[in-house]
Amino acid sequence: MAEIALNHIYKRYDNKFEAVKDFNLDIKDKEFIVFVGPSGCGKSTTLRMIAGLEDISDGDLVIGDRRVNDVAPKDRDIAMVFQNYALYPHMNVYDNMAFGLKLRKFDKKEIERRVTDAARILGLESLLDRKPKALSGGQRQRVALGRAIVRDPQVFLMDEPLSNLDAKLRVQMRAEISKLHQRLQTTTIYVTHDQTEAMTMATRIVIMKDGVIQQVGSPKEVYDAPDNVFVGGFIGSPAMNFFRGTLQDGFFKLGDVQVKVPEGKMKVLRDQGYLNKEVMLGIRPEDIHDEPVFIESSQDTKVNAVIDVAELMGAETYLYSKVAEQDFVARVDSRTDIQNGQNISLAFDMNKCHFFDTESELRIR
Amino acid sequence: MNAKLADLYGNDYVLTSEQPDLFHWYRTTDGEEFGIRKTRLTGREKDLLNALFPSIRILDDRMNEVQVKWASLLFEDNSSVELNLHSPVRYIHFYLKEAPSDLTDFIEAMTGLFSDETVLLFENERKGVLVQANDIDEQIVHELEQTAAALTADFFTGMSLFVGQTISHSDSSHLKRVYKAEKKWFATGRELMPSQMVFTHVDIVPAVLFNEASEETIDYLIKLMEPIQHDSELLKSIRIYLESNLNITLAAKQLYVHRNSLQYRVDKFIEKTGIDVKSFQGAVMVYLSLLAMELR
Repeated sequence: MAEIALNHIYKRYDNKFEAVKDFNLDIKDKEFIVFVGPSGCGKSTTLRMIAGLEDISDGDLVIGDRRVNDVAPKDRDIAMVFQNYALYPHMNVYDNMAFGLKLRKFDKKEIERRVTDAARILGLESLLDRKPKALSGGQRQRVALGRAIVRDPQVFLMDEPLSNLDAKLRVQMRAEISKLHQRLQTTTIYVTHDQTEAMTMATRIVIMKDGVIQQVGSPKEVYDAPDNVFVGGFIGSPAMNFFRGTLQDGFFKLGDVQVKVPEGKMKVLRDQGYLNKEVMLGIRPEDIHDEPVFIESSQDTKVNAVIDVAELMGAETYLYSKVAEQDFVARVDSRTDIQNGQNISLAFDMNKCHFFDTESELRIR
Repeated sequence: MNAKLADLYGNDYVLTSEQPDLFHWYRTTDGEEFGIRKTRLTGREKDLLNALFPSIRILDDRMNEVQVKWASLLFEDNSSVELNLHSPVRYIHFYLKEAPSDLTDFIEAMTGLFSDETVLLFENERKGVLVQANDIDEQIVHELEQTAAALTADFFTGMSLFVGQTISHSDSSHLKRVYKAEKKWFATGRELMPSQMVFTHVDIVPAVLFNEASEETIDYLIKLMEPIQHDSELLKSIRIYLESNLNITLAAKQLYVHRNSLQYRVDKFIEKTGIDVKSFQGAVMVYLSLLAMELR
C-alpha cells in the first residue's frame, strides 16, 4: 500500500524564488498520476521533493502512514526513471539492472531472480549481455524501466521518461508503460510536458503553471470541464479556441457576428451578473462543425468564414480561419474537401462551449 | 574555533599523527589541518564538521602514488609536484548533493566509465575531480549524462558534473590555475542552472560572464526581447531554432510544426525585434538575450 499525501508543500530557493506554492494532493494506492505543465511550472521540482532529491521548504509529505520530509531518500522505498536513460554505459544490461540490488546487499540468487523476471516482462531476455551502446533508444529506456522494476518499490517516480524518443517510439512506449502499470499496480507519479501523454496514461492529471496547481482531475474531467483558460488551452490538441465578446439578448456577440447561447448556460451567466459584459468564450476545435445537417439545425450559431489554411491530417482536416478578427481552428471530417481561401459556413455547438471571466480567467459556473 | 574543538575532544583532537588512518582530517579556511579520532565522532558530528571544514583526506589510505601527487597539487597548493605528464589532461569536476551511503560502490559505478589511468580525487565527501589523461573523448558528455542520472537513481543524491577544457600545458602551476578557475566556474554554473546535470565550458562560460556582468548590461539584453516577451511560443521557437544551429528543418521537426510555419515565426521575430537572428552576429545577440532572461 502506498498512498501519498502532499500537504501545503512549498519549494523556496535561496534567492526567494518560489518554484512550488501550496501544493496539495492526495494520491491513492495504485494510481497513475501525471504532473503536466509547461517548462518551469514546478512539476519536476515537486517530483524531486517526493524523491528526496530536493528539500521541502514548507509542508508535509506523507508516504503510507509516515511523514517522510526528513527521511533519507534511500529509505523512502521509491524508484526513479529519468529522461536520459540513467544507465551505466560501461555495464551490460544485466549488471545495469542488478547494480541497485547489489547496493542494497541482496544475495546473488535473489538478484538473478528479479533481473530475469524484469527482463521477461520487458522483453529484454536476449539483450542481457549487451552494453547500452548496442541498444536502440526504446530498448535503453526499457532497461532504465527494468532498473526501477527490479527494486519492487512502493512508488515509481518518472521524470519525462519518453522525451528522448522519437514520436513513433514514444507512442509505443506510452502503451508499454501503461500496460506495465496495469500489471504491477504500483503507485506511479509521472512528469511530462506533453498533454497527449498525460491524457492517454493518467488515472488523474495534475495541471501546473508557475508552481501552482491549476486543476486536478481525470483526463475526461479536465478536457470536458477546464477550470480556467490555461487548462482549456493547455489540454487538447489543437488547443481550445477563445473568443472575446459580450453577452446581449441571449447572444454572444463578437464584432458583427453573434451566436445564440443555450438557455441553461445563459441562466448561469445572467445569475452571475455577466449580462452586457465582456466574457471569453472557449470552444474546442471539434465543436465547430461544417456538416450541412448540423448547420441546418443550428442556424443561430452559424458563422461564415474564409479558410486561411486547410491542413489535411488524414482522417480529419484542421481549418484555420478568423471570425471578427479573432483566430480559430476547426477540426472537421476529411471527407469534406475544403481549399485554402474558400468561404464556407460553420456552426458552433454552443452546448459544448465554456465561458470564462476575462479578468480572473476562471470558468463561469 | 579550533581551541574549542581541542577542549571538546581532548586527546582525540590532534594536529598530526603517526596513525593517520585512525582520524578524520579537516582543514580550516586558514589552511590549518586537524584530525579527530574516528571512534569519537557520531554521524551527526561528522556531518557538522564536514559542513564547517572540508574533509581533506577521504580515501587517503587507499590513494596510490599518482593520486597523492595530484591531491597535493590541486588541494594543497604544492606546485613543486612532478607529474611527468606525456599527454594532455582534462578535469571532470563532480558535486554530490549528499554524501553517498557506500563510497566503494559509488567509486566503482563512477570510475567504470573511464580508463584505469583516470585519477579520482575526493576533495571532501561530496565533491571532487576526475583527472583524465590519454583517454580524452569528446563524446563523453552524453555518457556522463546517463551515468549521472543512473548514480542519482541508485544513490539518491542529486549530482552534477563539469567537463573542463583539455589542457596541453603540463606546467604544474598552470594545471593548478585551470583547476581553480574551473572549480569556481562550476560553482557559478550550479548556482545559476541548478537543474543541469552535466556542464561543459560551452554552457558554463556564458553563465560566468553573466554572473560578472552589471545589472545594467543584463537589463539591456533582456530589453532586446521586450517586443515579444509575452509570446512564449515565439520565444520557444527561436530558442529551439538557435539550439538547432539555425537549421529550420531540424528545428521545425523538434517543434512538431511545418518548416514554413517556423520560417514565418523567424521572420515575425526579425520584424518585431529588428535583430536578424539568421545572421551569426544576430544569433549570438539573441542567444545572450534569451540566456539573460532565463538566468534572471
